[in-house]
Amino acid sequence: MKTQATRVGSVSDHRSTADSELGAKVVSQPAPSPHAGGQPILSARGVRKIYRTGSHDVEALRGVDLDIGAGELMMVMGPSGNGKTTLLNCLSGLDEIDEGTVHVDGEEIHSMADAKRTQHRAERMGFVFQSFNLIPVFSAIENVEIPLLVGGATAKVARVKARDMLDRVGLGDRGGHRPTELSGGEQQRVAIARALVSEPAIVWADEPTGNLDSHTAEAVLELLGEVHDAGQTLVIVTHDRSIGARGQRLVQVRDGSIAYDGPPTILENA
Amino acid sequence: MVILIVISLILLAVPLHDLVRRPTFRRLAIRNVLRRKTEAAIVVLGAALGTAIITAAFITGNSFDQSIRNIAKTDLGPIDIGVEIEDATEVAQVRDAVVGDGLPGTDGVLSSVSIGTSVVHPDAPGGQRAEPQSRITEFDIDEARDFGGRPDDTGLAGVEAIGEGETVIVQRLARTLDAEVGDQLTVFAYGQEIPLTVTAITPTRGLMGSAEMVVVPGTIEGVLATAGPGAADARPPSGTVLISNNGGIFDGANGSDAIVDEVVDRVEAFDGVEVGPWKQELIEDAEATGTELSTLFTGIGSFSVIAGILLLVNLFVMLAEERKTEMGMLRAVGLKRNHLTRSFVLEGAAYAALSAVVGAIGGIAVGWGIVQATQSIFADDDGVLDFTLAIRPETLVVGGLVGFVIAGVTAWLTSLRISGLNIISAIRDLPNPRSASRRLRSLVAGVAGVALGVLLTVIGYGNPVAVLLMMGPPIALLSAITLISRFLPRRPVVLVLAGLALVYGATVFQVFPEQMEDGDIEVFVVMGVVLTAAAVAIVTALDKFWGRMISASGGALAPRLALAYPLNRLFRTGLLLGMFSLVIFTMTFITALDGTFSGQGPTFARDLAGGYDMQVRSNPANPITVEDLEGQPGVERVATIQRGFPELRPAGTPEEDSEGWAIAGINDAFLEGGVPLLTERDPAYGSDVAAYEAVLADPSLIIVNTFLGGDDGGPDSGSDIEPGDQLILRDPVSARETEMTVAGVYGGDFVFFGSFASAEAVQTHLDISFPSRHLVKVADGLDAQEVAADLTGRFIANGGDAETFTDAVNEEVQAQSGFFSLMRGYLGLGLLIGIAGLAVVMVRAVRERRRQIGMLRAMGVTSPTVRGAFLAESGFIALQGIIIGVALGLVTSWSVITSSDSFGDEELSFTVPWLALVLIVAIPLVAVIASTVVPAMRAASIRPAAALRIAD
Ligand SMILES: Nc1ncnc2c1ncn2[C@@H]1O[C@H](COP(=O)(O)OP(=O)(O)O)[C@@H](O)[C@H]1O
Ligand SMILES: [Mg+2]
Repeated sequence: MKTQATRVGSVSDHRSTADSELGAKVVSQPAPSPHAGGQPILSARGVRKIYRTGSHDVEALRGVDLDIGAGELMMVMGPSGNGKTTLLNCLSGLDEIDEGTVHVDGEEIHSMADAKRTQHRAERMGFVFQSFNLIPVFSAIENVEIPLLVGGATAKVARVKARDMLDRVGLGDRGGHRPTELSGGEQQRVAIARALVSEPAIVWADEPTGNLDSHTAEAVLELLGEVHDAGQTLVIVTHDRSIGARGQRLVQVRDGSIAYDGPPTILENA
Repeated sequence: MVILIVISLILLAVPLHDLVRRPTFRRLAIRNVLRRKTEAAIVVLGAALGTAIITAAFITGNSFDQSIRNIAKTDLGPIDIGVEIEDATEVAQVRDAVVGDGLPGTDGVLSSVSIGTSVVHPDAPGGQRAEPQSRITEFDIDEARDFGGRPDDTGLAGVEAIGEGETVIVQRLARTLDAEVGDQLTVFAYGQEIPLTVTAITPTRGLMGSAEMVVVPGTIEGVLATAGPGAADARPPSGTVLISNNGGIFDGANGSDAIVDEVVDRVEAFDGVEVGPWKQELIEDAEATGTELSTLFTGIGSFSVIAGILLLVNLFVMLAEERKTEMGMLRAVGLKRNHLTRSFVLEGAAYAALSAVVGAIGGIAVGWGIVQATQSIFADDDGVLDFTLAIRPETLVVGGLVGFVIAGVTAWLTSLRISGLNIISAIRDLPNPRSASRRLRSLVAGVAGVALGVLLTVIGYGNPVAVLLMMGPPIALLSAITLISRFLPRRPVVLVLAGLALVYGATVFQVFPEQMEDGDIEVFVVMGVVLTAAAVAIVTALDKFWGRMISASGGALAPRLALAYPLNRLFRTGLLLGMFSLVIFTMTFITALDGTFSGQGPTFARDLAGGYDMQVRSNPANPITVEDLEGQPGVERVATIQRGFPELRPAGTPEEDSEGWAIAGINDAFLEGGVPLLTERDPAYGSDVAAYEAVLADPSLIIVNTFLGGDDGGPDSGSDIEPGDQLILRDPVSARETEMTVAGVYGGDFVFFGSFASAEAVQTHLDISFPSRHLVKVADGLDAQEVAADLTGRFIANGGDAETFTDAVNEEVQAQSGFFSLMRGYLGLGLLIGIAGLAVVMVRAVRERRRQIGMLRAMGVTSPTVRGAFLAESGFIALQGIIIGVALGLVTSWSVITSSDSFGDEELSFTVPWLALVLIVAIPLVAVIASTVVPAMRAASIRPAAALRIAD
């Protein structure tokens, strides 16, 4: 774990000491309760999300309350179509909500104007999706640079940091390659590098291994594990029990509500 | 037409078969068309514009043809053949000789005598009205009415015979004079005033169109009898025997040749008689002019059409890329490659067919616009040609078919290319792998291209065929790229070979001046394609340069995104660039020519004027004399010109090669104060003046205009006639021929001097003894224009018309400029294709990249940045295309203007029309960006959550 931490650990180098401490605390706790870890980095209350389609409305989130502690590794599980992705989108501010509040670092993100929320997202969040969503006309390194450039870094600084980050995900020598020239696992690693490079407070991963074979998936999960070990807050949506079991905390979503919130040990019993 | 129908049927055969017999293809194609209705509509519209452009070119030709043919109705009617008789007193005898015991194949022979006059309506309702250039004609109205057997065609149906002092006038003249039946008109001829009362006004048709004012026979003789001594210097009355062939106005002209031969035999005994198949010549002229204009507009339009083809290819490639995955799936589930092609072809055929119909109809609108514009440009010109829109059904069919064939063939070829995709790479959305067979195919294509290029070059050089020589070397060079880049790095190979092609295209007129001489508009079209293709190849090979520029520019994301997409799809980008640069190239070229000509106006006037300020024309039957003019205030000096209308041809060529070309007989006074500038002269003369002096001294010397002997319209229409050449000058009346030696060549002739010879030479060679023009120098300090206006007003009775050289040149330059503007407007349609095309491409791009945009937004890229990236992307492509086009256009026009004698031997100094260029750059750029605003806004408003969800 020490070696792993050195590989990805410097992710937290630039973080505030408070964050690092929090992270360290979380890691040190063997089975944290939902609200452990002191102050939650994200706090959602009564979040409702209704998809309005022509004929009928789908209530995808039915008043969700959820706190995410800094440095937590949270797994979100549930059957397909029950609202996992919706939950992620609404908590991260990618999507609008119909009712409720979501505070991140004490700020309510849904009352922000789009521009402000976008900027907030750029500073505080990273995303990894099932399909890797790399920009096909950018090389791997250029993809990784994007969040840095969005954050206002100069081209030179961005290049250096992006190269570092690619190194850390083991793709240091593939920086010049286009996404189409990389395997699925490699593409997802680039995507993870991209999600992490700006050192966001929370990384959201929606079925990050869904498009990968089990072997490649394992490598990606290991990488995410390292990220977490380094103190990063990580929310991973998955429908795979074996992946769910790796978290510190498990949230199960059923029909738009949180059906379970606690240690992932229940997965072993089932 | 038959060929077009056959090709169309071949193109349609497979799609039609599939449409009826293959429900799967049919469903696939129809669904695909309907899937994106707006875009399908724009694709159809883009292709339809091309068709409209072609159709409009044909319609313009039709309209000219038809308008000139209309003259057959308005000014000839039943007249098919005219026998002109110099000595009007012989008219009756000639008529008898022509009729003899009956002239087979004809249904009417009529004799007439006429003189040029000016006519005034002193009591017109709004004050005096005048027509300085009219005529009175004598013939027997009763006889004339039945001439040719159809009174309606003569214009004289229902018109009663007239008596002395009475006249029947044609409507056209009545309108000018604001005259009605019963009004009193005054006609001026041979220094006398003849009062005439209007007894009838006839439609502008048939005999009346050319007769203008009919008077009772004997009137002219009476005028001559009482004329003063001055009448001896005026042109005597001319007699004409008019012949109507069997048949109607148009079909009657067909039998003219045999009848002309017969008539020529019958009038052999008379001197000074010229027999001409007037109607036939007019119809041939109409057809030639119509075809010429069709060709010109088709040529200019083909730039736009090629742009349209590039757009179609681009859209098809995009279409294929968008459907790559699903096409891969279809292939995987067992659809053969050939089936894929056919479903594409079916779709393409649907677009092509629809666009052909829409385009042909749109062509009417465009044609109408051209006709309107042309009419207003040439409205000042005498108003002889009443230019009206003429649409022939077969024109629409041909235009539509041409459009269909072009779009159809494009669809076929693109489909063949894109269906050759690899299943796996298609499903995984990867680029096609470089297979061995692919390499082999490109090798074969490269070798074939080089061979073809070399072959075309050899043929083009040897024969010579300008257009082949223009395309041969570039084809070879560009084909060689694929071959040589097997062994050497591609980028430098492209830069060198495409660079060579570019240089060749831009300098071919200097390198092969002789071989390129006989080229026509198609040479310019090929040149445009060659230059833009080479330039686009170079620019796309410079993509690395842009990459470096971005890196150097810092981290701004919008420009980075804006450049990344175009630079990663070089084929598609190349098509877009080609589309823009081709049209802009042509626009710039035309604008530069326009600017150069317009800017040269004062120079042209100075070069032509010699020692005079204006020319004064008058009615030959009532001419202004030198003494009249010299007595006028402000007139310092007068020179008289004896004009003649001989035919000229180089010695040793057959008589058919003769060209009718006016000649100006000059005297000592002409040389005073300067002479029209010579562009070439016999080295025997030390100066231009010396050459003119020699011409005055030696009646066998002639100075010709640079356009004599050139074929008009081509890129190189300058003549081959050089000082020292021998020309045959033929008098068409007496058929007498005289050999002349060219002493010099002069440039732009804006007042129709024609050639120059001594007055004595013109009199002896052409039997002309009356002056017809004067040149006037105004006293220092006076405004030539004011003096000219003054003189025109003063000599109304003589049909006086004074025009300064400056005005004459300006009028011509303006008309030319107007024509250039028309061409630009017409090309603007091509630009429309480019702008609409780029807009569609951007709309498609937004959809293609939805998910990527969603991801960018998730990463915190703001929506203004997304919008900016799209605007910058289209702006970048357009600007690149525009810059390529402008640069090529300037270089080429500079090269053509300064080095070739395409525009005569006149020395032209190249003028860059800066303002116009700014517009050429700014308007399309703004239009492109404006048309990208909608897709860019759409991209910016993409919600990340929704976009990222699609097909997850
Ligand atoms: N854009 C949408 N419009 C309408 N319904 C939607 C939309 N997105 C998701 N849904 C519905 O919302 C529910 C939750 O979807 P989602 O959050 O994607 O579930 P999960 O990620 O757990 O599979 C599903 O019933 C789905 O059909
Ligand atoms: Mg989901």
